[in-house]
Amino acid sequence: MLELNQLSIRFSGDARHLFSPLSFEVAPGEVAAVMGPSGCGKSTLLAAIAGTLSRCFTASGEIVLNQRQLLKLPQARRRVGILFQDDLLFPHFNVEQNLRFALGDVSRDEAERRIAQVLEQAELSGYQQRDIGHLSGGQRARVSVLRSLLAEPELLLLDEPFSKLDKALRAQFREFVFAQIKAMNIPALLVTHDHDDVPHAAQVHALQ
Amino acid sequence: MRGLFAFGLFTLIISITAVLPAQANWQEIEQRADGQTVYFNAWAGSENINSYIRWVAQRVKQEHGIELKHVKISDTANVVSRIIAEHASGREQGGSVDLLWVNGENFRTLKQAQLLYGPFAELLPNLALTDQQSASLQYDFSEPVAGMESPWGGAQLTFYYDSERINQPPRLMAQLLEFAKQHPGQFSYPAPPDFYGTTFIKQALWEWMDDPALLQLPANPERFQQHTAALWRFLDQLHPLMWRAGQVQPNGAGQMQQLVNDGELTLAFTFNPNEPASSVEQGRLPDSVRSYTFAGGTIANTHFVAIPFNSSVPQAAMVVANFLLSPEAQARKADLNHWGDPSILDMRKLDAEQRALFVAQQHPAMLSAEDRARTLAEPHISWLELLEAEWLRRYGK
Amino acid sequence: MTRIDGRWLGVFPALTLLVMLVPLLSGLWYTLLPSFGYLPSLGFEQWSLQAWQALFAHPLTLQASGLSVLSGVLSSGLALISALYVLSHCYHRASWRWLQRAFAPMLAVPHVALAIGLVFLLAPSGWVLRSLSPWLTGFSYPPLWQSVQDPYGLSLVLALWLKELPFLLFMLAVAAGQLPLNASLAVGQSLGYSRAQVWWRVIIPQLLPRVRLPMLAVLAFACSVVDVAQVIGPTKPPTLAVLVWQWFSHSDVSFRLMGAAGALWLLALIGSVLLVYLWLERHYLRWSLDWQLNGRRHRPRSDKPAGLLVAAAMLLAGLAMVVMLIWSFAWRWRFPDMLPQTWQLGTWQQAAEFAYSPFSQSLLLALSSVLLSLLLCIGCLEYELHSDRARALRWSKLFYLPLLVPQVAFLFGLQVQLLKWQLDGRWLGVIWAHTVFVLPYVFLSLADNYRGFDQRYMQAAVSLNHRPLLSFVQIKLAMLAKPIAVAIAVGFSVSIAQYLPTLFIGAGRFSTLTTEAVALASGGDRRITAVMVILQSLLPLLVFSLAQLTTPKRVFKPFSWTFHVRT
Repeated sequence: MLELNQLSIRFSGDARHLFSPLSFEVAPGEVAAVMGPSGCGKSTLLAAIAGTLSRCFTASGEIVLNQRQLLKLPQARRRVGILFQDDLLFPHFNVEQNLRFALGDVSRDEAERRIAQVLEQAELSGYQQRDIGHLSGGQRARVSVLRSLLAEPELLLLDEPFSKLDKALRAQFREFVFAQIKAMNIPALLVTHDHDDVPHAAQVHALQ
Repeated sequence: MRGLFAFGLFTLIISITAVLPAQANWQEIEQRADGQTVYFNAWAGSENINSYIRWVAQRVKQEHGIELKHVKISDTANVVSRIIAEHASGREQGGSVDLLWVNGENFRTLKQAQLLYGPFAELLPNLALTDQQSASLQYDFSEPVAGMESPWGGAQLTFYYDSERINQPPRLMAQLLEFAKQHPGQFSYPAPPDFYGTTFIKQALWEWMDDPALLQLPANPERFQQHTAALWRFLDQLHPLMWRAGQVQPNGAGQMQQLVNDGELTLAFTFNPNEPASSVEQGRLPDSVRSYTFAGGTIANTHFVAIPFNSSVPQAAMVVANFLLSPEAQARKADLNHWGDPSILDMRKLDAEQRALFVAQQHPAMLSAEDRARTLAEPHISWLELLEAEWLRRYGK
Repeated sequence: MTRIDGRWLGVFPALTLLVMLVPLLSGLWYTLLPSFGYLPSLGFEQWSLQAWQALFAHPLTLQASGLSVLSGVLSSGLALISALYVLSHCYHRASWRWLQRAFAPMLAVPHVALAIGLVFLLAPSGWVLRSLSPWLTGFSYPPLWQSVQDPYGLSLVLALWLKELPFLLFMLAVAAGQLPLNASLAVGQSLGYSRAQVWWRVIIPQLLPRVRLPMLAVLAFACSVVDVAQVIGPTKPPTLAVLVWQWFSHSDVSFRLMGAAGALWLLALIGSVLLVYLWLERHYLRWSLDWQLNGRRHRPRSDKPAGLLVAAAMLLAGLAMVVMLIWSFAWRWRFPDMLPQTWQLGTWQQAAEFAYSPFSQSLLLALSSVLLSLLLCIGCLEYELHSDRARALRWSKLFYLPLLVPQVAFLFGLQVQLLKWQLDGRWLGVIWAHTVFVLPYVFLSLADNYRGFDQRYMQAAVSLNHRPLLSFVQIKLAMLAKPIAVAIAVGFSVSIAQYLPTLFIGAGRFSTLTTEAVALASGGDRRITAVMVILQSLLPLLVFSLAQLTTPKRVFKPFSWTFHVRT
């Protein structure tokens, strides 16, 4: 469960807020959406939740994830996964190594088993040793999602992850991501400016 | 009985110590030198000198347990600067230089600034093997040595030429001018304040002055122009006929030697009378090189080693200086296959065994005995500054 | 790496500024005092303007100043123009990869080695004329030419140009990598301009501000270099830097006051040259705007002249190296033979006897100063990410100061300072002195690539494995492996080439390949000089080739070790 309580962000040393304070909850398995035109502070909001906020900004209010107050925690201890609009797969690793990076301290056999399992779910069986540069855009996007989820985050942030994909791929990938989130049963927060990306019946918050 | 023997030995030692304090002192010095590290700052432009110093390091290690480190320098003046800077910052102990190869201006600078340790030379047992009465050991460029440095070798301005290109080399400055007219571009000298360059100027002045004896006295600034007028006339004529029309001059004896080897120069000079011969032996000069001096003789001087005031191991430095004066070290130094720098020892003071260490040197490129005998003393040091300044004014650009 | 643990990184810029500025400022201070007659240790305690008067009354000062400025400006200007020209024709073309590989060794070879090699090559008795004589030229003895050490300093300009061209090309390529080049070229060419025209009208105006610092460093270096000018520069008069150096090392210590004044005069001259360059750079855009927008289209011009220029530069540098190699195996080699009459291995054997210690000392000095510099640079660049970017950029400019101030202007003063702290002649002092010159180059070659790193990779990594430090090493450093390796190589060759700092601060007790090479070059044996120069070039060449081979994948084999490290 993610709870935002009067969360607002302002420039350090400046009273102006980027948007009016936000308060809402996201239940496990649910995808909430935050919408607004570009430049309204969507990505900054995600940075505040993920723990990567630049020093130029100051966040106030509360972010509570499964009873943990996030705002004072360093990024490394928040257990928040992020999907960016770029897949950000590490170019010097192959598919298996990228996925292995997200896995915790598990044995080699266990790691291999789980990687094979998730690749199969994503219809990428046998892609373990593939070089990142040799994957198609859709394949990369899927590996990127798998990687985020293998880290077992308690919350997934989606920073316009579909915007760079072409139309046909986009719908398919969207369904894949939402299904994965449902299966993991974690809350997710989607930032987008495209209504098509928002799942049916999801709560939508506009930034002002 | 044994006790009596020990007592006898004891009294013997006491009496020797009483009679010969210097020798006992020397033993003490040698004891204190054991295990010390000596940083010997010496010009390192020549690999045969460097390799000779490596040999010295091996020997003093064996004999005295001294670790000798050759600090390789390209210009002794830099080391003088460093010693001055150390003094400037109050480093009275643990200086970076323990022994320095030096003479002339650099010695005078250090001595007058009281930056030298000593007097120490009289303490060296091997100094007795030199001709201590000779002026060249008592004065370094008219500066009294006063035991503040110990002699290492003798030097004499020595000319050499490629006999494939000329038969009769010039033996007078006037002939040198003729030579330059016939063979333009084949002679040059390093620009002062380079040591070789100033020596050439002094040599030329000696020949062009009406009364060369004045050179031994302090220079008179008022009459300087009059005394040197002929010299400048000579140089005015010589310069356009020199290598690269005198617009570039070699940076030292090393480059002159290279230029002779390259065939750019036919005639050059050095300060080590045996160097042309050893360079032929070691492939740095063509076989056809011969050496000689000028008819009226050439300037000769001595090079020394000195100990800076702030050396932390003066005893060990003295032991090294003494070893440098030993017949063994001097004989190897004189050997053309090693360094080829003439011995500073007085052969008459050596015993037969010591003399046998010196192999007779025979080489076509060597200076003949009669040339070797014709030496001139260094002019009084006050001439140097005036000559350098005037030279710079006239030919600096 | 995250907001909360980023604050301590402020240590790095503070430490770096300390490391860079303390030696520089204290060195300048102890140069300033003597120039006004105050050097109490030598008995000069009277404040006066005498040193300055003597400086300007000295017959050589003005001409030497002119030579310094002229040779510096000419070589740097030519290097910049030819680098831009080559870039506009070759960048990202088929020849570019080849060109990058070929220029890397030239970047690595120490300046003085190249200068010595050029003299071997171009002197009237050099290899070029040996090869052409007597069959073509008729010379059986070297002619009376002034092809090196000419009074106008043209051979000096050539040597400097040859060394600066690859450096500027390298810096320009790094800067160009930060621009949307392909898009600009595509748009420009679709509008009917030739590729080179797009470069000159669109890209180069954007590049110039980005290579401002390297260009200033090149200008300052070329105007103030001592060792190269000693080898291949004019002697009557020499350049001002050499003249000042001679005064500093004159055995008559009163010359030191004039030396101090001369060093500051050189500093002032270089300062004006740099200001003029900045002014020109700023106004170039305005002046060239009309021309940029005049709408004229050219058909693409041939790339051949650019290729020829590069080929000529490389041929010259290559031959200079080859002729040194030949000399090192020669016994006797007289004019006009094209090759030595007799060969030998003796010089190399001789070198083997003593080269170990200078070799290892060079290596150790270079490694320690480069690693120290790298640590500080990476720390500073990380700090930038966590602080106000604009402010960080402003103070990081201070790192470059040691490159803009002539070495002769502060090394003597620095020596006095280090003596006071008992740091001269010690490892720490010498490593420090090297770092002062290595760090700016490491920063220069690393900063653009480092700043260009997409920090979201780090955010993704930390969100995945929750270990900032491990992610930093495995992801950020690994992905930046190539630029880091190149920065190491650049820093390494800078350290290897240091002559004055090693000599001054090391109290002569540190013999490196460079100090040995310069000491031997003052002697008469070209063969041993050649050996030392080859050895001196070999180390940086080796490191540069390693850097060329570096890729993130090679550096990093993830399953071999990293994933099983528990933190």
